[in-house]
Amino acid sequence: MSTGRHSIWQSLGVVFMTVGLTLVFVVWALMVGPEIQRLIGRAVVVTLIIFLVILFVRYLSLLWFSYLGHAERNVLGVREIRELPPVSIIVPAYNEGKVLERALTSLMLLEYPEYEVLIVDDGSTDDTLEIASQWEGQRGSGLFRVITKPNGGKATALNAGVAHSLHPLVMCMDADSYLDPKTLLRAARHFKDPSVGAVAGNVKVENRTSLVTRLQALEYIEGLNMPRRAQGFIAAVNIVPGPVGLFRREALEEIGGYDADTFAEDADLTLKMMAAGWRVEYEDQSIAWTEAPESWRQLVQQRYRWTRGILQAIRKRKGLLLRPFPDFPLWISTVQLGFEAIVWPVMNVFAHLFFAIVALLFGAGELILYWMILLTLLDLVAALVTVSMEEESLGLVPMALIYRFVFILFLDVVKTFATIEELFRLDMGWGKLERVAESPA
Amino acid sequence: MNVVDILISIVVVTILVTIILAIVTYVAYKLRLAREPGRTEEDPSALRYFVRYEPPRPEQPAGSMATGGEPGAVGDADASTLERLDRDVADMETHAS
Repeated sequence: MSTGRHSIWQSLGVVFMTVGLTLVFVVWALMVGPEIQRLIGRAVVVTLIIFLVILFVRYLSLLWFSYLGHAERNVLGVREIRELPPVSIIVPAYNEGKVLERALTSLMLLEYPEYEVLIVDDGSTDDTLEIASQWEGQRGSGLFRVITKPNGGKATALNAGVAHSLHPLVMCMDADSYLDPKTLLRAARHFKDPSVGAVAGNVKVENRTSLVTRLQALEYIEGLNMPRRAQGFIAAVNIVPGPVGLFRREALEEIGGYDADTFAEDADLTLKMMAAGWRVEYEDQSIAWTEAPESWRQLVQQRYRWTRGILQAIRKRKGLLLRPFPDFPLWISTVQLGFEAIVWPVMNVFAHLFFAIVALLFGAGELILYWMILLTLLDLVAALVTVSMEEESLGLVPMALIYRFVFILFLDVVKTFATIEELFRLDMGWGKLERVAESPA
Repeated sequence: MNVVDILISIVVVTILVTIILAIVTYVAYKLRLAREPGRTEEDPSALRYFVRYEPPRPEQPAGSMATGGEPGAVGDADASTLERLDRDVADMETHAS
């Protein structure tokens, strides 16, 4: 993984190559003889039927398992533990001066008997360290401490925090997020089961002020939390998200902490933990509010990094993809991660492109229209179910009307380019987002 | 043109425009990255703060943590900084005497 200057020409080459090859194929398919056209037509139709079947099976199984997870929790109740183990909360911060105060205030207000907060300043060049230093000492039930180190990336900051932490449970969070008061309480009870190594929390978008952030709010609920809840049902959550994850310290030490060789240290760590035999669960009442990218360009930057990071994490364990046994949940989880990161976006983009071309050139527009209406209805139902499960604002549901055709399609184009760049192992950088620091909702 | 045709047109145009916009935004993002200055290697000895805060070792009582610390394992630069500080103090004492 390189962090040097980006090669714009290589990236543009990827874009031109992808668009060019697609156009060449379309023109070629239009110009060849009727026999070959029929053959191409049949191949494309078969591919599309496979695509549609996968889409429905994926959607319905995610909905079903996430419903089971939700029902299990509501019917059977949650495990309560008599004694709550003390927790160390690690807050890695690199130039987070604008938002750090808000995160620390939320930590001060946590409802938990004993915890420490370790703010790890990763060589910030702004006023992060000064702000953090003002928080040192006992505040409420939490003891606040500050560590500073030369800049080395988020993974090294988290590892430094873990190394200096004192307690048996370790919560890792982002400095641009803030936690609900009951977050720790809800997550800690999962550790009654000694085989649980980590608990993924529920991340929600806090700055729902524009179309792009409202679409992300729906995406977090429908596109990220629904799969996570479904995975939680089989205790094989494949990403413990950066903004809120609680870990058993013993498990973190056993796997050697975070690796700094991917751009998705959270996905990488989770896969490593599952491969070591630890269960990874999901707690939807363990809530972190995060600041989502405010512009489409920042969104591209974030998703580009996520996609390449996830691919890097999968590449490190590509052998796992061919070994469904003995750990079937781990295999399912890894395959799903790869499918969602590589196969699905590419299929989605090319299927939509195909729909548009067929509608324009072959007069099958009506068929395509009914298909789109059906898909939109499915999206609306999924949005309604997931928004209700999370007791979120129903005002987000209408966003489902443009969720698939605009938002997901837009992101999938970016993921497709990111995937191709990762396959060619092009140079990339971390790309820090600009912070706005909205006041808590 | 009936309603179905209008809806078909909307769907097709939306798909094509979204794909084109995504490509344009992606290229714009890449162009912007190319214009940013490259990241330079940091010199770990170039401290931005005079004294780095060091957390206490685990065996110490928690209450004594906020006041600074002993040389620790966080950064390679810390030992040299403290040595420099010791030298400065020694120099000052020499001058004072």
